[in-house]
Amino acid sequence: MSAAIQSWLEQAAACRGLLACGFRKADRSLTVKSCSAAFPAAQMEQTMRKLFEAVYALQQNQIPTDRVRWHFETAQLHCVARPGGVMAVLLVNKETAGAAEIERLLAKAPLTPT
Amino acid sequence: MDTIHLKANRAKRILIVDDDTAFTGIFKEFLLAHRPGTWIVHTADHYAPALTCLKENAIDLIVLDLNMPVMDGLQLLSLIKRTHPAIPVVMFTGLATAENRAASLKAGAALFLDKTEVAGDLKKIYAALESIAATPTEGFRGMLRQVGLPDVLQMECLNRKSTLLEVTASSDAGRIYIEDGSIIHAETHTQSGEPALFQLLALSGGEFQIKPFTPPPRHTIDGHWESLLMESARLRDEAFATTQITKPAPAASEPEPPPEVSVARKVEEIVLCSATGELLYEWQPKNVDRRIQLLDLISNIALSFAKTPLLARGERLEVEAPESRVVLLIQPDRRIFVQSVPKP
Repeated sequence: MSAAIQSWLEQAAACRGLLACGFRKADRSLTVKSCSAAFPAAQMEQTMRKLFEAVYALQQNQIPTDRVRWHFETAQLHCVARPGGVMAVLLVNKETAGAAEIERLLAKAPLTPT
Repeated sequence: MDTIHLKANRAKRILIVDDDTAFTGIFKEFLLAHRPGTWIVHTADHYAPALTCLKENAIDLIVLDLNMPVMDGLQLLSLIKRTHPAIPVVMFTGLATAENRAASLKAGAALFLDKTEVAGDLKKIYAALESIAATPTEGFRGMLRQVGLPDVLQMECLNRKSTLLEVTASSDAGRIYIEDGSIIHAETHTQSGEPALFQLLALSGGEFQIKPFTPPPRHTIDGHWESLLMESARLRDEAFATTQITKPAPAASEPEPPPEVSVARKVEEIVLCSATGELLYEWQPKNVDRRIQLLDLISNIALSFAKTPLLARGERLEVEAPESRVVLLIQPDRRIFVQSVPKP
């Protein structure tokens, strides 16, 4: 599982416009990777914790969180989350990231144990 | 040539903002004496009394000095254009450089005048001031770069107005019909209904004019305005993202993401509340208290994100699954929850 996550993070890091990416496992552990000095790994960890709070609250409201997009002025948080606390997250620059590439990456996120 | 006479009979209110109080005094005396009864003149020597005056009076025209302490004229101009986009502003300065002129006009000034050229003979600029203050007597005009069309629509719908919004831009033109706060029809040269509305909302610049309501040729839109505006924002984002893509050839083993399919949607639920959690509007909410709690939590998270520049201004949270889509809008003064499902 960890190797699959590392591999996915490596692939994500090569995505154009990616600022940081991360993965949250069901045991609550986080693995993150920063690709921009403007958004260090510690910042991404904190962001993922907050994002998980939002995702959990949505799930508590019976809102399926298959795909979550949070739009900011210059960046976007893209996330796929499953009940049980597993979550894959990409933080991208809104102007340079490609939508198709983001979707392709998220489709490949190892959300189920292999 | 004679000066242009103001169309309305009422006196126009002008606000002169300049820290040179001797000059504002002379300017005020000139306006009152040149054509008595035409102007009601307010003066302010810096930004604070100027903003107070704007709150307390229906100002028709602002004359703004560029070089002022604390908040200079350009900063004040930007602020005024956000809070009072319909009021024309004339910049009046002794620092009439090309840079200042360009910056002022870009920020929305209607006119940029060199104080050193005209201060000795204010008659030179009287016609210009009178002309700018002579706004149309019916409806009002605005520039889309100063205030967004979605903002205008939101104001009209929230106030449950019936109006006709005419939009013109270099690339397109059209009309949006609003009746009792609902968008009922939109048309452009090539489209009508929701596609026309989204086409007009996607314009990046242009002019609009709000006119008295006249019945449209037909009713083509029945969706709630909140969901229509959100759908329009989503389409704009997607269109923008699509233009940014340079697609690398996927490796043979890589799975292709499913093709993006535009699905007609039906709004299932709407909750609109104030920033303090007061319910302003609801439509078929499953549990209104829980929705407001959810909006409050998302708002707090957005606030904590905003400490990081890259995550500033969390505009919209979209949550999508095959069976539903939820959009949460967190704005300074209100929060909106909309849930929609694919139309069968």
